[in-house]
Amino acid sequence: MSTNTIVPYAISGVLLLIGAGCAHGVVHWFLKARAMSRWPTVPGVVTSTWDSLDDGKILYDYQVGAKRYVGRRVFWFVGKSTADRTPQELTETYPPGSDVTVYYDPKSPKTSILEPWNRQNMWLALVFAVVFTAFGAAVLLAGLYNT
Amino acid sequence: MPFPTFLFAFPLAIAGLGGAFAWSAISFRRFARAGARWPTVEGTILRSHVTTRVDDDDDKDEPGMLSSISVLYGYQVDGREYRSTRLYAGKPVWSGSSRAAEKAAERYKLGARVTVYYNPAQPAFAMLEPLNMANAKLATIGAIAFGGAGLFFTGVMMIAAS
Repeated sequence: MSTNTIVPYAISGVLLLIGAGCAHGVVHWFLKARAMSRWPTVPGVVTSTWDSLDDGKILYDYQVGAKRYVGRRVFWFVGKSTADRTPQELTETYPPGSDVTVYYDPKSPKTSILEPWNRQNMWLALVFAVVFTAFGAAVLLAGLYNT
Repeated sequence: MPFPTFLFAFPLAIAGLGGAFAWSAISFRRFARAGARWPTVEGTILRSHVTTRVDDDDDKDEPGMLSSISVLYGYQVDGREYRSTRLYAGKPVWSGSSRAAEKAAERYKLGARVTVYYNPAQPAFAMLEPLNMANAKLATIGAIAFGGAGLFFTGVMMIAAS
């Protein structure tokens, strides 16, 4: 087998591996989001001030049983990307004093989240998974066709 | 030697990226038109300054400076107080020239009264310049650059293949 024939297979292998890695991330997100969306919910109130326009830190109060908690997590994410919501965008959704629905972990009520199905970073992983897999498959098919 | 057809995937992907930029430009324009029809209230500028940051573009030998205007304004809807830093749809656009940002800062001096366009369904979402097309223009440039390059190289490869 000549080097020219191997190149498409090598390229497609790398692309398909990256695609598989991204797909794994999407599946991991989906399972976690599904589990969190099944947590019980309680009403809560956003207690952060307008300073969240600068620092992007959203705080909310909620009560489970007789105990009150302060939540900080709006959504679950891995890493940072340019698609992340800005402090302005977060504050627009959660202005001070607004009512929210809080999903809390029944095993550990201090763990809570506002948006279990937030797809912010998942979209990027999904796009990469589709693009790399499609490219990998195209290169592989073209390699097979040309040989 | 036959032309490796899989190579067509690359310029077509670049053209596809151009298509994504075009879709984004259309979305920004639609959003701008919708925002201009939102109800308005009077607001007050609470903070205004030109912000600068280092342009960390790896392609440039000398790092330049990028400027943008940062404003904070307050307004009331149905007796409830709101604050916002949003000027227009999308994320703030940074410019290599500080002149535009300084001009905007002149317009939004501390204490100045401004017209605030707010989303009636989500009053915390407001803008001062709904028809500012800064992001739409950027997306249009991306659409032309990537779409044009993708189609050009696809054409070149088709000629080479034939």
